Amino acid sequence: MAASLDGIRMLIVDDDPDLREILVESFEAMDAYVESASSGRLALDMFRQDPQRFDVVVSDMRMPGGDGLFLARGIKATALENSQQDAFGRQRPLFVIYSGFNDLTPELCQEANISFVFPKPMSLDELAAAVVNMLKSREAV
Amino acid sequence: MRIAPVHPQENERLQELNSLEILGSLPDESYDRIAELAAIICDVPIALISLVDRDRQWFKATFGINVRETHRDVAFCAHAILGEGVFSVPDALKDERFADNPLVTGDTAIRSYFGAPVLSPEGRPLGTVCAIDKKIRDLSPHQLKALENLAGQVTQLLRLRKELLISEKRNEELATYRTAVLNMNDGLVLQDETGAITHYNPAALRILGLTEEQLLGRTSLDPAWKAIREDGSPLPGEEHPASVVLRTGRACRDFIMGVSTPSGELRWISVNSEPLSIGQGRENCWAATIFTDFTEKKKAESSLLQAARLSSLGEMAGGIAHEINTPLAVILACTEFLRRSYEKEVPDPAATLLKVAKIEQTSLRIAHIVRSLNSFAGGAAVEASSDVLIRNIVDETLIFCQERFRAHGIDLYVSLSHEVRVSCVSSQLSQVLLNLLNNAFDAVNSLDEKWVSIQTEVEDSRVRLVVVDSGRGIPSDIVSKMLEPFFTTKPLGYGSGLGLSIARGILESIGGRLVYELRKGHTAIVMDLPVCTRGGNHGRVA
Repeated sequence: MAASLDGIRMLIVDDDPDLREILVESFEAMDAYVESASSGRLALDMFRQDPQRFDVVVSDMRMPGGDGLFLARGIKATALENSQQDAFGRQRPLFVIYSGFNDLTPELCQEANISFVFPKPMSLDELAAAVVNMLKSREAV
Repeated sequence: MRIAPVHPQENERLQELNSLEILGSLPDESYDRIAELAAIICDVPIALISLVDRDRQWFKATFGINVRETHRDVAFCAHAILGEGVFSVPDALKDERFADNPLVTGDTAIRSYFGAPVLSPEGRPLGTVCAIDKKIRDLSPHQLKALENLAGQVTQLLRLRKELLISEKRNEELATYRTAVLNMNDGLVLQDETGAITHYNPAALRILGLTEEQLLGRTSLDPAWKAIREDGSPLPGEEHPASVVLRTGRACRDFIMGVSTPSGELRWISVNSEPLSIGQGRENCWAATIFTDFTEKKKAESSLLQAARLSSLGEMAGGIAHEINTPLAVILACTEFLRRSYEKEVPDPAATLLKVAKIEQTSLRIAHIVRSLNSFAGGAAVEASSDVLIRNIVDETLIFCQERFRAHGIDLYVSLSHEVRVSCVSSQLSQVLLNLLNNAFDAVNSLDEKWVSIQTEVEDSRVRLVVVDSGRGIPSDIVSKMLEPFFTTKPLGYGSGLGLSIARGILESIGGRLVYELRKGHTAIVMDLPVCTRGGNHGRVA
C-alpha cells in the first residue's frame, strides 16, 4: 500500500527534467504538496525566501550549479539561523538525498544534517515511507 | 778516433728501430745465413749484421765473432749509416778516423771494414751488413755489389718483420673485439648480399632460440620467423630491418618486432640494422644487425598499458553508471506510479499511456548509451577500420563525459560545422578524444573560467578536430615532453602518463598528428587527420 504524504510540503531538486517531472507527479499523486528546482543554488534561494515553506527537501546529489551537499549545508545554516528545529533539536526541514555514487559518508551526512541517502535508481515508495515515518515519529512526541 | 755524428733524423731513425722490436731479440736463421754469405762472398773471417742504437751497436747476426754489442762511439757502422752505398775502410790504421779505435788497436784487431747500410721500412738507415778482416783488404766490385744486395735482403727481412708485428697487433685487437662480440648480451647477425646469415654470436642463438644449423644460411624471407609488428600484424620478410638495409643501403634503427622460436614461443626484439661494405673493393653490401631481447620489457609495457586501459575504463564506467542511473530512476518512478495508480483505482488510459511512453522513451535512451559502451569494448567486428563521421565520434565520446562536465559546472561547447569522414577505428578515435576531454576537464576544473570547446576545421584534404579549454596554455618545457610515454604532471596514482602517447600513436597510424597550439591565449590540442575522400556510405560500426 502506498504511503500517504497528505499535507506534507516537499521541495524536489534535480537537474534532469524527466526525473524531476516524474518525481513531482509521483509525490503529488501521494497527496503531497510539491514544488521543484533544477539546481542547488535555485533551491537554496527558494528556501531562504521562506524557510518555513517546506517540511522535506528531496534532492539529487550531482548537479551543476550547486550539488546536493552544497544545498544540504546551505539549508542547515539557514535553518540554524532561524532556529528551525523540532522538540528534539532536530532540523526542520528533513533533508533526503539520492545519489548514483558512493560520495556520502555517514560523517558527511551527520555534518550536513542529511537524514537519508537513497541509492539511485530509488524506489519512491520506500522514500515516501521513510519520510512519513520520520516526520510522524517527530510529531508523536 | 772520430765518433760518428748523429744521423740528421736520429729521433725518427731510433723510433723506427724500436718499433721493430728487434734489439735484444734471439738469433734468427735468416739473418745468420746472410751474415755467413757476406763472409763467404767477401772472403773475410768476420761478418756482422749490426743495428745502430742511441748508445750502442747491437748485432742481430754474427759470423766469426762472439760479441753481441759494442759501444756506439767505437762503431764503424755508425759511420756507415750516414752515407749511401758501401762504406769502405781498406786500412783502418791509415785512417785517422779509426787508427786509435780500440777495436782496431785491441784484441779484435780490425784492419779493414766494408759495410752496406740496412734500411728501415720507412727508408732510414738502421745498421749494416758488414764484412771485416784483420788484414788490409780491397773488395772487388762484385763483392761490393753482393754486400749491397745482402743489405737489401736484410732490409726486406725487416720490412716483413714490421708487417708481422702489425699483423700480430691487429690480431690481438681482433681477438679482443671477438671476445666482446662473443660475450655481449645483444645478438649480432651478419647477412651477405643475398640475405643469408653468415655470421652470428652466441647471444643471437640464445635470443632467437635457434641452433647454429638452424640459423646459418637462413634469410629474412624465411617464413619460419613468423615475424610480427608491434601491433601484432604480420611482418613480411621484405620489411625486416636487414632486408630494408640490403635493398636500400640505408640503416634501419629502433625497429621492434616479434619473432617465433621453433618451439612457437614469441620473442620481442628491438633491432638496429646497418649496411656493411664488405669485400676488396667494398663492392658488396651486407647487413649487420644487432638486436636486444625486448620480451620482458614488452610484457612490463603491456601490463602498464593494460593498467592504464583499466583505469581509464574505470573512469568511463563511472561516467556510464551516472548516465544510466538517472533514466533508470525515471523508469522505476514511472512503473511505481503506474502500480500505485492501479492500486487506487483504474486510471485514465491517456494518463497511463503517457507514462508507458515515457518508460519506452527512457529505455531507448539507456539502450543508446549501452550501444556506445559496446563500441568501446572492442571486439573483432568493432575494431575494423571504417569511414566514420567526425560528428558520430564526438557524439559517442560525449556520452562518456558530458555528465561529468555538467556536474562540475564546466560549460561544453560543441561546434562541428562540417560533415566530414575519417578512415579509422571509431572506438580508437573516441578513446583519443575522451582522453583529451578528460585532460581538459582536469585543467579547468579548478579555474574561475571553466569551459571546454570542441570544434572542427577543414582545409584541403585535412580535418582538424580541436579541443580548446579555458586554461591559459601549457608551459613550454611540458609541451616538449607531454607526448612521451609515462610523462604526467598528475600526482602519483592519478595518471599513468600514457594517454597522450597512446593518442599520438593512434593518430599517427592513420596518417594524423597530435599538435599543441595556443589559441587566443587558451590551450588547444589539435587532432589533425586526413579526410576520407571515398565518400562512400560505409556507415559506422554501431
